Order: sequence, then structure tokens, then C-alpha cells
Amino acid sequence: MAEKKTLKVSRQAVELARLHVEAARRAGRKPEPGVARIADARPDNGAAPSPA
Amino acid sequence: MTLLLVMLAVLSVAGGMLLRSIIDRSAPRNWEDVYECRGVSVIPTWIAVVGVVMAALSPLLVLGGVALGSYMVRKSDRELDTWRHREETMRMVRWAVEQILEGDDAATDAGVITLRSLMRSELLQPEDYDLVAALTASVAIDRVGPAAYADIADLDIEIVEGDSEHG
Repeated sequence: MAEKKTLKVSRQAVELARLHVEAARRAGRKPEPGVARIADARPDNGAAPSPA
Repeated sequence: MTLLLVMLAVLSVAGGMLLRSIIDRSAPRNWEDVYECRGVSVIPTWIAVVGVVMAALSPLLVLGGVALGSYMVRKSDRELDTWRHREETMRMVRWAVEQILEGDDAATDAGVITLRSLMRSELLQPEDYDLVAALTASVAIDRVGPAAYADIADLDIEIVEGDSEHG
């Protein structure tokens, strides 16, 4: 099985993405799929994503 | 207030007409012959009824006018207070956006925290959520980079939060 590729993004980008998801939900719209994936990024140390 | 003034004007005119009517009827030429000997009142019954009704209603109308004026003043104060809150909120939004666009990590954190706090405190109104959503999506994509963002559509890529070349 091929190893999954990894894309590292900065913490600020993840925070912005999480804010986008929250704002979009409050506005009653679906968040951008790509940005929503960034918001679900897992931390580098393997722990679960920190709560917003 | 206009309604109150109109009501007072109508009451004044009606009172004047009533007084004039009473004066006209109070001293007829054949006063002693016609009225006094029969022992009847010189004021017609309908005028007396109108006078009593108006006397009873006047304080109520004044009270209603005062209550209406007080309500309108309070409503105006509330609107002014809402507008001041809105102005201050939009100032904070502008500051937060400027911080995010500055590009510095600490400034971005400050801007994100401010916007999130404004949203959760319900100071932002529903129509502002679209602005925040569009702005944060745009900046997040810009930070990640268009090429890397295009790769995100590939489900085989795992996204990891950390200091890296993307964002």
C-alpha cells in the first residue's frame, strides 16, 4: 500500500480555516471543502486537533 | 408628540365651542319667562354629557400622550445605543482584518481571536458572518499557497498542522 502524502500547513492557516468553518456555519452556508480540510488538520505530534 | 398636540388642539376647540354654546344659551331674552318659571336647566343635556365626557377623558388623553412620548424617547435611545455598538464592533472587525492581512504570526493570531470572540459574543450580526467566512477563506488559501491548496483536493494527501513551507 502506498504511503499517504503529507502536506504541512502553518498553525495560523489552520486557525483561519477553523474560523472560516465557524463563520460559514453561522451564516448558514457550507464551508469551502478545501478550507474545511485544512481546519481538520491533525497536529504534527499525532495528537487530535486542538479545539478552536 | 404630534398626536398629543392634535388631541390637545381638538380638545381646546371643542371646549371653546362648548363654552360659547353655554354663554349663548345662558341668557336668553325671555330668560325669566321661559326657563326659570319651568325650573329646567339652561344647559341642554347633550352639551352637559359632552362636557362630562371630555372632562373625564382629558386626563386620560394627557396620560396616553405622555406614555406615548416616553415610549418613543426610549425607542430612540435603544436605536442610538444599537448604532453605537455596531460602530464599535465594525471598528474592531476592521482592526482584526488589518492584523490578519499584516502577515505576522502574532498579528494573525490576534486578528483571529478577535474575530472569533466577536462572533461568539453575538456582537457580529448574521450578515457579517459571510464577510468573516469569505475573508478567512481567502487569507487561509493565500497562506497555504494556490499550488498546495490545489493539492488538498486530492484525498490521498494528509494535512498536518505545523511549521512548514505551506502557510
